[in-house]
Amino acid sequence: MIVDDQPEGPAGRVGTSSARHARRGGGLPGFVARRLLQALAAGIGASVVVWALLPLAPGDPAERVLRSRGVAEPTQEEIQATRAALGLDRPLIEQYGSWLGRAVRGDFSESYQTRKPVFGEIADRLPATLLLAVTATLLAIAVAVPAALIAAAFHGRWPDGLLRGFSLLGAGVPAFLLGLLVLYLVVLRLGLGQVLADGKLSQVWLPAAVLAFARAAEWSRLLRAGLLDALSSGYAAVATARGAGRARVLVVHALPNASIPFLTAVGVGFGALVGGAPIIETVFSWPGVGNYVVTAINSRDMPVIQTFTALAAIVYVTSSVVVDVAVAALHPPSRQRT
Amino acid sequence: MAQLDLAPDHSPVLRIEDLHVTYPGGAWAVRGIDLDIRADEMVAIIGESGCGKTTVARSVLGMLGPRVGTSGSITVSGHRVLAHLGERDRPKASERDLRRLRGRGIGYVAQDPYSACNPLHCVRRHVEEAWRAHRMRPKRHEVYDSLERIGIANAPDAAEQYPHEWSGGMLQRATIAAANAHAPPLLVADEPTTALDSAVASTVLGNLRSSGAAVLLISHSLSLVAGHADRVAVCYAGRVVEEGATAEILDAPRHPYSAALLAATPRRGHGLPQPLPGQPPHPSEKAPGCAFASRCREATEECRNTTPQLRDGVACFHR
Amino acid sequence: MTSSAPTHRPDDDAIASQADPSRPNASAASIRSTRGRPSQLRRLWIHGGGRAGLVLLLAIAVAILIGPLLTGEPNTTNLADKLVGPSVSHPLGTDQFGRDQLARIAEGGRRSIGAAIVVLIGITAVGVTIGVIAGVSGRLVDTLLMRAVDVMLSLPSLVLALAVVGILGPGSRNLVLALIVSSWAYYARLSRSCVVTVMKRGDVLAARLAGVARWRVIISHVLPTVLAQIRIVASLDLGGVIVSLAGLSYLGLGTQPPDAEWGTMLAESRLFFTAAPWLLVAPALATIVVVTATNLLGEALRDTAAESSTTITRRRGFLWRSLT
Repeated sequence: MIVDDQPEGPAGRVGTSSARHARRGGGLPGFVARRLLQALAAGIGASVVVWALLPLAPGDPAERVLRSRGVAEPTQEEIQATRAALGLDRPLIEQYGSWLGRAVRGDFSESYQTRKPVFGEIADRLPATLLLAVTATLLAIAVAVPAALIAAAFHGRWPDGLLRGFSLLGAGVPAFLLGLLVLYLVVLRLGLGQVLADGKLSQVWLPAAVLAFARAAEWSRLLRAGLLDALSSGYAAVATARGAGRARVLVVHALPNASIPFLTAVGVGFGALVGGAPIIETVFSWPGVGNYVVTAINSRDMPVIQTFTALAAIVYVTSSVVVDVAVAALHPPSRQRT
Repeated sequence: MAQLDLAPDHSPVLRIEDLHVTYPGGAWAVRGIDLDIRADEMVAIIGESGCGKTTVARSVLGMLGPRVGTSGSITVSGHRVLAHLGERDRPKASERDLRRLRGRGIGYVAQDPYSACNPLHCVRRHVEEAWRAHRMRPKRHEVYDSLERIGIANAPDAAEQYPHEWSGGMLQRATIAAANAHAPPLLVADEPTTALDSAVASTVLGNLRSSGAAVLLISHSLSLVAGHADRVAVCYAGRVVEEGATAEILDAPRHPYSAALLAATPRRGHGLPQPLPGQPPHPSEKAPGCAFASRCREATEECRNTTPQLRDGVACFHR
Repeated sequence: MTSSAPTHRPDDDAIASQADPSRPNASAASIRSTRGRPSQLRRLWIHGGGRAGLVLLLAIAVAILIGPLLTGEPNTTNLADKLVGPSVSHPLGTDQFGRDQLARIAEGGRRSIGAAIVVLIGITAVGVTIGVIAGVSGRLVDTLLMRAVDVMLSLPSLVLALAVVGILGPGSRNLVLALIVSSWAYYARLSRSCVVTVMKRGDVLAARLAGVARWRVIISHVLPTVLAQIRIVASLDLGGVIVSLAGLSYLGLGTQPPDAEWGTMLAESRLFFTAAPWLLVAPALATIVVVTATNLLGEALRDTAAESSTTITRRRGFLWRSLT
């Protein structure tokens, strides 16, 4: 039975009814506009942080650039000339402005190492990273939703316990460790898959499954908690009292309501998958952005690090906007101005 | 769809006999309640929180949890919701039977209309749930008619709005419309006006009254139900301590608890309200005697040792 | 299950009976729990997950602290004994330089767990300071600080940490610094929301009306509540921080060879995957056990905490989602 059996509930929301007088909630377009504006503000703030990575780095930037070009002992004149060429002698605000102007046009300057535009280098590798992140997210959702539904339907019985064990395991085994173990067991011992991946769809399954494991564990647990919350709610009890069966209450009423925190977690999780690409791509030698960035970090290739940070921020902010809009589309009360 | 036999000749509509309910952990929510409701009658169960009145409502709907212990019997229009222990020939209704009975045999109105409505569904979907729960698809006009019948103007437009956009009183009337969708012989209303402004409370109770069904009304206030209920059962610590016609109890309460309840509510011509001191006993306490004895000025040794039975509408040794 | 601290929350995973929808009257629970409430440790012990976490962590602590006494130096090389499998003299085998793997695991554990605790202390110090300042200050300071927090939150922590290590250069100290710089904003936001709630509480209002100095109110009322809350979040985050430290060390950004650290050891083991799998398995299992133990303990702490501090930290620590 799925109702809240508290013998005498407190008088729920006494007194709030007048506060919620009949007012038309904000429309979806208005919400989207407000949310986009918010995202833009966050993006501008983030761009300052991303830009500041370079001037904040220890050492003289001009000297760093020269060294990376192979000038071992740069002279004072050389440094001055580079300074002027890079615009480092101008005020900081001007430097930021010109950096942002170029960044918006896709010009993230050149890699110290390869001397090629960073934007192109990253754009070449981005599809592989996105393929991995999207596949992992979809796999995790495909596991998490049925698992949570079953656990909530059999709350307190063995399927629920099984999910608890799974989620504990998922939280305790970090993706890169699981990746290493899978690489050893599946690839080296069983001879399935390949040690060096080529970034194609046919090889995405192994790394995606590894990434999906922890996500599925976390998300299924979150969704299960949301489902149990919804099942103990007033509307679930009323639907039951109207004659709805357990399955209907679970799927028609509880699941959409429980999806709201779930969707938010998926959005954040997707952003984090792209952000966490360096580690898992190194484990699987996946030819994506992450792998490229790790090489760059080891050789202190600043523009590449900076561009990756900007990219991760863009993905992060975008996915949270997409999720918020999806939630607002699903859940009319959340469209209202807060 | 199997037929649900709701012939009107089963009188009374609701019969509760010797109902006991214990929650896991040993809380005795209900300790022996008998109640009959005839067709077209509105009967109110009155009491403080913790007296077991919501549990009675849940029991009637067969919506107590699986670990809740029950005994006694409940019959709604001749259908058994709960049977006496050991009554093998008349077993407890299966979950399937209960589901068929809920909504079509028993309508339910919850306390807070906002939490009673799925926030993701517009009001029309909420009313439609009455049909959809039984795998039926109502015509749009059926839904709008049921809303307009209960006094909601411009139903086709208003019903497309979401619960949070409606006022509490309006929304509670929409849930009454949904509860009444199949014209069930019995409506169970669990404090339907507690979450509402007092101005609309009377309208909502009027809506319930005019629904044509027998109504089991759960409330914490005697004066609130005064103008609406035909009969009142005053509940204390899981037992009915006094039962009778509303007007009689309002005019001359016989049980000390009813009198105290009445004195605690402000009424014209009765001076300032006098709050009832003390706390009701905890549901896990199983002391013998009248549960009200510790708060009663007239309590004697007998009250503390023997539980008074409901006789002639009142359970008190001194009446 | 015998939980005598029945703080009911529907999302409680640990104990089925706690999340039992058909529980008795809530007031019964509160009456029982105020009467002789057991100590925190006792409540942790009663909580199944908490007991498992405590026992595991205690075992790990003993192994890490006492282990080196039995196994010798972690950095002593012995090329004659290189890549030897588990044996009596080397219970976890040796690596490519013949160093004893058990000694290195113990040494690495001290580094990993120690660094994670330093990170959490750093995040707490920075985050709580900024959060409390924002919470008790006027509108202008509050808005400015919180906008800064919003900006930090729009950058995924792990990426920011990568970037900071990238510009500072690899090394365990830089890595710890990078994680603090990239993660304090979560704690700042949490502290601020906690402060705002506390400032509206009856006892705080009464103290302020009575003319108690502001700093005194903050120290005696606000900070203890915030820290109680943060302590739970931090214990939930400990596992996540250990994982991120290990992950970034695996990339070569943390502890540098020849020093032992679990992530670094994992990275080194890759070259000898087929020849010496024990080099992979031992640090991997060590990480998994420590993370699971801290997760269990963190969740138990959250579940058994006083009712008042459970509202915000319902599900997980804050860093988890963005770090792992």
